[in-house]
Parts: sequence; C-alpha cells; structure tokens
Amino acid sequence: MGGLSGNIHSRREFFVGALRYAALGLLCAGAALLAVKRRWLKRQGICVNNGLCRGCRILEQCRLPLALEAKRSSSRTDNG
Amino acid sequence: MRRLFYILIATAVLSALCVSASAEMRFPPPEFEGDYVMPTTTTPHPHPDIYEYVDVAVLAAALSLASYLTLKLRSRRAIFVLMMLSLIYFGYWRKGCVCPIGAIQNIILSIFDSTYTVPITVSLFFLLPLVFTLFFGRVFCAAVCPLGAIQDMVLVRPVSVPYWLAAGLRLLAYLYLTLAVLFAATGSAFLICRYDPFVAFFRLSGNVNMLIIGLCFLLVGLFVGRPYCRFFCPYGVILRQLSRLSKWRVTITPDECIQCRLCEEACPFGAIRRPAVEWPAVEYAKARRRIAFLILLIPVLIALCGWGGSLLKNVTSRMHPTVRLAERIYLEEAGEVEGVTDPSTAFRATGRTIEDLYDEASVIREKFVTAGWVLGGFMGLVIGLKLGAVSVWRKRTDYEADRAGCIACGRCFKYCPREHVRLEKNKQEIS
Repeated sequence: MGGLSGNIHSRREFFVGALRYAALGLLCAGAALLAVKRRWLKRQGICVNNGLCRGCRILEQCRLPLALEAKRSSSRTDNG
Repeated sequence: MRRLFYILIATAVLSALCVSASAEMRFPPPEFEGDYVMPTTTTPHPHPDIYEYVDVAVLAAALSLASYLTLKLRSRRAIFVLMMLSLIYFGYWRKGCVCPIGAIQNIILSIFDSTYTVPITVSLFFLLPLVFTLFFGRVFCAAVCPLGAIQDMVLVRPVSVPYWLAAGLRLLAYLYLTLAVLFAATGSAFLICRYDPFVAFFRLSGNVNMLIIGLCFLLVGLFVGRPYCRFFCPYGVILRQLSRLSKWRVTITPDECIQCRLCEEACPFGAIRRPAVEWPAVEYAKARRRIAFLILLIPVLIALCGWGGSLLKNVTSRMHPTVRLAERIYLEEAGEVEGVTDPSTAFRATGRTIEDLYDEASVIREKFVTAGWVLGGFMGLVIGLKLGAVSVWRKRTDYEADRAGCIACGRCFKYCPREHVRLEKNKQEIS
C-alpha cells in the first residue's frame, strides 16, 4: 500500500515538474518573442514610445528622442 | 547574513541617489509664454532609462532575499522588514509604477497590437515574480508587492472567512483579470491601473473615488487579511496557479508535523489545510456523483457565460475611446444632447466623415463580440472548475499550507513547537 502511494506521489511529482518547466519555457519564449518584436519595430523605424503618441509613423515633425534617433539612422542608410 | 542585508539596502539607496543626480526629463514640457503655470500631474514623471534597470535589479534582489527568508531562514520578522522596505521603494519611492500587476496589460496589448511593444524591463517586471513563484512559491506576495505590504501592515484583528465564501469571492479576481485582458487586448483601457486602489496613497494624489475605495479596502483589511490580494488581484490569479507547480514551498513545520493543532487557526488568509485521511463512504459516493454532474455541466457553463459575454458588447465596447466618440457624435447629430465635448470637436476638426467613424466603431464592437465569447467562456470554465475543486478530496496526513493560497507571509512558523525546537538548536549551535 505504501509502495502504491509512493508511486502515485512520484508520478504526481513528475507531472508537476513537467508542467513547471513547460510553464517556464512558455514564459521565456514569450519574453524572447516580445524582445524580438521590439527590435523589429525599431528596425522598421516605427516609434515604440509608450506615451500618447505611440504607433505614430510620422517622424518628420517629431522631436522625441526615439524619433530623432530613427531619423538619424534612416539618413545614415540613405547616405549609404 | 545581517551584514549582507545592510549592504544590499545601502547599494540600492546609493544607486537610486546616483541615478536621480543624472536624471533629465526625456519629454520636456512646452515653453509657454506669459504667466501660465504647469498643472501638477497625478502620474509620475518619466524617469531616465537607467532607473528601469535599477528597478529590475532591485526586484530581482528583493525576490531572491524573500525566497531565502521564507524558505531557509524562516523568519517572519525579516520578511516583515523586507516587506516594509519594498513598500517604501516600490510604493512610495517609485510611486507604484512599473508594477508586475499592471504589466499584465502592457504584455497583453503588445501581443494583440502589432504596433505596440514593451521595453524589456517591463517584460522582466512581469516575468520575474512568475519565475520565482514557479520555484519558491508566492514570495512576491509575501515581501515584495507594495499593494500586499500596505494591507498586511493594517491587519490587526483577523477574522476567518468561511471557505465557501472565500472561494466565491475569489471569482471576482478572475472576472477582474478577464475584463483587464479584454480592455487591454482591444486597446480600450488599462483597467488595472485606472482602478488601482492604493496608488493614490503612494503618489499622495489622485482620484478621490479611488482614494475612498482604497480606504475601504484598508478598513476591511483591519479584519480580513489582504482583501484586495485575495479577492481582486488579477496578478494573484496567475501566481496562485503557478504556485501549485512550485518546486519548493513554505511548510508550517521545519521537519515533521506532530499534529498538535496549534497552527490550525494561525493563518489569517485561511491557507492552512487540515489533515484529511479518509472521507466517510456516503460522502465519497455523493462527491463522485457531483463530479460526474459537473463534468457535464462545464461545457454548458462555458457556452452560457460565452454567450453572456458576447451580449455585453454594447456595455464593454463603450470603454473604447472610438466607440465612445462614435456614440457621442451620434447623439450630437441626433440632437439628443446639448453642446460638444473636446473629443467630438477634435474629431470634426480632422475632416473625417462620420460614416468612417461609425464603420470603425462597428468593427471594434465586433471584436468585442468575439472577445466576449472567448473570455466569457473562460469565466464559465473557471466557475466549473471551482465547483469541481470543492468536490475533490485529497488525502492529507499533516497540517499543510495550501499551495495556491499560501502567500508565504511566515505567520504560522512561530505556532509550530517543532520550529521552536529548531530555533533553540540553532541558538545552541551558535553559542
């Protein structure tokens, strides 16, 4: 009886452990995807500012540091 | 250990001072001519980027320390001190922002909105407590969360909430999480930040209504342990589930339970489970029938709640600014309201047609129908599983801290006679 109980216990531990590392993997993968998305958006020159103007694609008049940086990087690309 | 603790605190304080010395406003206000005075803001000013990394470092350090204090040192006093320091740092110093609870919405919006993204620091703020919970249990709730700390501080005369009532009230947290996800995913609003009951205390300013709600929570918190954490916190919902999978967790006794029953009423959060060796045969048969009934009921609950969620589209979609604007414009055009609002004036100045706005609003409303089905269905599933959990019997030979409900506050340690033996042994070893 003790053996059976022990087996059930260890089986449960195994499943809990598997779920734990699956959850950990999922969280890490999600974080990595978000980081990649941010990088990609920045490369596209899309403003990733978290403020009210987020999503704005018009950089010409924008004086925000990220917009200035994006304009600088795009001008560098234009100059070859 | 104590020296290490002081060094950590000193490092954190010094880093904060250095950063503030080099701070400059990222988005300076426009320069107005004349005698215009800038109004006082109710939200914190933007901080230099490096501050965010300092916050992440402090969060990681606090979580590590909390894990050590709860699992290894087993000291309620040390946990309390860390909790107060976290309240000062994350609450009063950093004004409750960024916090992992609110970060849920940023993460959700960045998943659903292709043009929105979160800084790595916000992702880390969201992830770190979850990862720690997977290994050490809810140490974030124990000693790091400022919202938990402010409630824990006022708990003077705890009364026990019946299990069925606590389980029922916990559904509110699921509902809150569901609504927060709905509004964040549709880009409507950040509900958790808007209705944070304690942020007004941290910022010493804010909405009067929320201040009153916060005061009510604190008043209830005098007798009911951490009411917001237990019955409303949306992040707590996620932590509860992950805590079930934790590798290590808080135990009432440091070695073996002698079933003295001294800890039975020790937990103000009702997180101590009594031994349950065997159920009476009649009860067991009844519970089996109930579970079979619930298995059949769950799909019905999912469908019903999903349908209910989709029916609420007119109410829920009003949180979206575009839908609200479209409704306002409609009322103004129909002459059902007098005057105009700032958003409606601004809309007319853009030169867009009203039909365009109505089309956009109806597309958004359709999104709410789909989201209502999904999230309503989720609520149905939660209700079904909760009912099932009440009927499930699990064998327990000792008094145990509930895996999901235990917030690792360490109050139960001193109730265990075995703990006193351990402390005595430690003292002897040291001397």
